[in-house]
Amino acid sequence: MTASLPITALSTPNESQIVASAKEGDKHAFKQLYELHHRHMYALCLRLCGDSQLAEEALQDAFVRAWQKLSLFDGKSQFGTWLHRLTVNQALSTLKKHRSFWARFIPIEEQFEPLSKEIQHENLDKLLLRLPERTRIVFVLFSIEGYQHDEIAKLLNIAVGTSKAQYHRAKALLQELI
Amino acid sequence: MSDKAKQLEQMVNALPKEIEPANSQWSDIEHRLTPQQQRLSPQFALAAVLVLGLAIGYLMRPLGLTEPNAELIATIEAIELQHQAQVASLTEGHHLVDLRDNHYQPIFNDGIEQLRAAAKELYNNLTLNPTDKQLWQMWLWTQKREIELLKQMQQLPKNTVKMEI
Repeated sequence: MTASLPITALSTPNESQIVASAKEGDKHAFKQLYELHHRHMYALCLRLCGDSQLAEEALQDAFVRAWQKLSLFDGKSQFGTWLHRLTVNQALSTLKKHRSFWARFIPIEEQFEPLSKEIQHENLDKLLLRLPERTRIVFVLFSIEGYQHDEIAKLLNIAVGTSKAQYHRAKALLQELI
Repeated sequence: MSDKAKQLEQMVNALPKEIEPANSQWSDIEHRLTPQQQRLSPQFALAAVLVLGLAIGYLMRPLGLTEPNAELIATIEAIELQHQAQVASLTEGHHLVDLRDNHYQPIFNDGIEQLRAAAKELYNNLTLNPTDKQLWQMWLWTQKREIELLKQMQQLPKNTVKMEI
């Protein structure tokens, strides 16, 4: 995975020490990790989920899960890279959870749709909201977060060719919208 | 590469890598770092285990063959009381459900009301037919789902803006 890391993470020399403290149960240290990474993870969640409320939920779930799984972080990769992958999985899981939840109680035609008017970001972020969900997720992961198609295919449980097709569909749709 | 393709590439490169959420999420995260099991009282956990064990014991034996229905009905009532205690613990103990200004809440409340109505009907039928395994399964499922929904409600983000659906 070649996902870009937040500048703050790269410029923090003692992040490994903070991670070590957090692994020992130091919540203050974990808060420092949150402060370092939450903006990047929120941007990721927001683009994957397409909705600020879902993105906040995914962000919370991701950090709670990171706390629970911190002992499994072996330090071979950067903490930001590990957290990034965990957050992608959590955001996809949150999306799936909400789809199945709404399907239980509300007719399909009345189910939740992302509201673009809630999102205040400009330019491409606004256009991304107009893409179909799966198409948007593939574009965000490939084009913005630097994932490869085989990685995306594994994450979404789809064929590599499907991931490529969704990416080209996203590009075509976005170019029409520009 | 076409002009629009170049433009799209530039837009991708210009995207901000970081975005600050509108509401701080740390306090909610910090609250959730303590496992929920630790927040429940030991007495409550013990009572839950005892009642569950009792229920499983009755369900595992051939129903209605050796025990009079009165004992099954007493078990049903005990499970119902235990469930109500758990619901009360979730809704009153944490003071979370009713205090949240969240647009999902009416949906959750509708879902819970439907489950409770179904559970009440199943309970009434079960007291009349306490050896009906299907009724047992459906009744216990409605209780389980109600607890799950209440827990999901507590995990909703706080202070969310009401959304028009």
